[in-house]
Amino acid sequence: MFPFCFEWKWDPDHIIFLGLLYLALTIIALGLTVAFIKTWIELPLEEKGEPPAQLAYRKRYSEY
Amino acid sequence: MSGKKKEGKHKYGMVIDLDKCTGCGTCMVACAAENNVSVQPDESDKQRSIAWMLIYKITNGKKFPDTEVCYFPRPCFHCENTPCVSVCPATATDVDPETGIVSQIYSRCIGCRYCQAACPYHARTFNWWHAYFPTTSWGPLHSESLQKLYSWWEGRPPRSKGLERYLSPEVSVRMRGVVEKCSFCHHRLMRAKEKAYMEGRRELEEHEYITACAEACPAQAITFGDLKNPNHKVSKLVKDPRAFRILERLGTEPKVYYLSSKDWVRRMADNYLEGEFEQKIKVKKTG
Amino acid sequence: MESALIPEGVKRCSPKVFFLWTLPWLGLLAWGAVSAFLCLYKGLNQTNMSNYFAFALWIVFDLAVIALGAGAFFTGFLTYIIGKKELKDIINSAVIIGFICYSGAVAMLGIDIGQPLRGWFIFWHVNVHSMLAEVSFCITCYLGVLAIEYIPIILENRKLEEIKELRLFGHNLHEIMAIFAGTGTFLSFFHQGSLGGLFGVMFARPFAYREGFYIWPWTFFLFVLSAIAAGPSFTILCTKLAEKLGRKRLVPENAYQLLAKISGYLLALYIVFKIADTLGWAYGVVPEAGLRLMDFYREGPYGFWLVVAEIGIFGIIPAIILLVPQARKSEGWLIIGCLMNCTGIVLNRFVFTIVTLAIPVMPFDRFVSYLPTWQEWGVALAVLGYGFLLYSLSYRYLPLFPRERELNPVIE
Repeated sequence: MFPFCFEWKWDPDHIIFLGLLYLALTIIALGLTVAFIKTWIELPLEEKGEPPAQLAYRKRYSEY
Repeated sequence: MSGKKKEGKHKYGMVIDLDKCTGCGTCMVACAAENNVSVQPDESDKQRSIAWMLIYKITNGKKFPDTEVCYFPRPCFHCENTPCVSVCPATATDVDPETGIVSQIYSRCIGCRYCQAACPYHARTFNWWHAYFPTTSWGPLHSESLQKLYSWWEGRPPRSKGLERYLSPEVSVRMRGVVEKCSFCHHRLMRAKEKAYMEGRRELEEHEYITACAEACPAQAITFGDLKNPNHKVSKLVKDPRAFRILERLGTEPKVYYLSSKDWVRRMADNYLEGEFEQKIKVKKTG
Repeated sequence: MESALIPEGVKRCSPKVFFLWTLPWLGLLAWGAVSAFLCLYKGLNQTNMSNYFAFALWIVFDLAVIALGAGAFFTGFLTYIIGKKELKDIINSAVIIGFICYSGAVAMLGIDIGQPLRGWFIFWHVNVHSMLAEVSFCITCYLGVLAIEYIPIILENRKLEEIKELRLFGHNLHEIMAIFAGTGTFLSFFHQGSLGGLFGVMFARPFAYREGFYIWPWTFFLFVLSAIAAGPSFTILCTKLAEKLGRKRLVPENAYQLLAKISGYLLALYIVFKIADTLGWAYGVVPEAGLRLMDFYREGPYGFWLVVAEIGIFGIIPAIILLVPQARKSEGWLIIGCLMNCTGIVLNRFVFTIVTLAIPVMPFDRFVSYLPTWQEWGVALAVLGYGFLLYSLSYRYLPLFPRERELNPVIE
């Protein structure tokens, strides 16, 4: 799984397989981070009594 | 998706002369003793018993007096094109390119049994129970009734035989929940290599490394050696017109060859469509 | 007090009725817990698996629930990536069904391996050439994605939504759901495929072996296609069951119709490829191994009827039912079509797992039979109990169906 595991070889098979895995994990992690950061930014917005329409989710998902 | 690797210097293999094999089972016993193959609580359940070397009995299906019987001793074939190695998710089995021996790392095996499913020879067996060697005492349980209760719960007979004293220190005992198989007595190779190294040699003599089954066979039906060394007996025997391998057409390239002068035996080793099987052997019986 | 947790404006049964409803499922879970304990403590000797049947009931169940749970990723893909708006009314249900199927499968696999404590070796010491490694990686990651997709639904619970941080976080997750849905689609494509590849690469088992494209045998693609054909049908079935039990409409008809139509088209496409694959195998792999097609169907109960049932009865017929608009618009036919579709896929997974191992390859080998023990049934059926329980809890306490209020106005 990591270059320091003794099965690891620097061959295309390992690079493609684990490269794609780490890419998927990175995307998931980044997605979660974005959600956390946005929540953090939007928290004071609601506190100040701004109209809810300014919140991102209200703009995009009016049906919810 | 095959386990084919680039080849090294040696290619250890085996030739089993079925014309000589009497089906006595010495190879199985020798193998089990050499490799610490454990006893199962229910040895009548042959689908779950552990045997690195197993003897299959086949007959020509004819009625008396034309009935003929033959025995196929079956170790792991240490295929060159392994069906098992490439499927193992945890790299618990591998081919040593230097020797061609297919290893099994017991402490690495997670027990998913995918290798068992992939091997058409049933050369791999799973430890459905704890390894069991009847011992003289049983850990903290000295009370006999407690031992009986525990053995009932564990589903194995109580220990009282002292069999653990006969275990080989060179071969690790396998734990419950892992797959094991014939290793071509790999520890004997290690032992022979160490001895050769101590004596300042880099190459092994033919007799220095042979498997326990080959050594024990009273009929001398099993020959073991380096298929790549033209001086070794095995590399000559595989060129015998009687030589064949089991399920050769699947492309697994087993390193265990069989010799038989009987066409019906050779016919039983693989699947053939009508008219495909060539009767190569003109002589009916040797000797 | 409990009513404060129930979504606003919808009607749910009384706590007493709900408690009684959960009892059978709790019973299944208890049976599963005892079985799992025995298997973990005493070992896999508690099962009827053997050196011949290395894979058995649990793997069939695993493959089946993972194929049926494909509705989650595929509906997510259609909703968030393709932009099929009408599926928003059913996506929550699909996600929960997917989560149940995948978490159940992973739990079952944890008991199925001989050394559960070494499960992490698959990741740490990965053999990148193993299809099972690909399956494990993708399923684990995708289970994470499903959990992320499930979180916003949980956070919509009436009481949880009152907590501002959670509410905002849930909505923010929901907003970027397309990213997760896309990753989930990628991961699902590969694990659904690898589950097929698992069998297709076994070149020494002519019953399962298939040639293919690059490193992927044809079964790789067939498993993906069959999963996305059956997944939406299973989503329809589960949601219809929830409607029947709750005696109300939960999802507008157009969502069902769209899913059923897609399911029908994909099933038809799958059946065409499956027939082509079967013919290619029967005339390619099989004679090359020195066998005739009928050699595989002589052993035990596994006759040629399996092919007829899998491709004909549970393949072509449901495809026709789901493709004909008049048929799928009738609720009865829609349910029959979906049910047959799902049965066909389960049968396919059964054939690849059990029949592959049951048929001896060595000519002098013999056929051995296998019947699961009560412990094996216990663990497998516990997934069913767990599924009913989780879905019921989610339905009761979370606003799963955005249009439920509109479709069932509460008359005061």
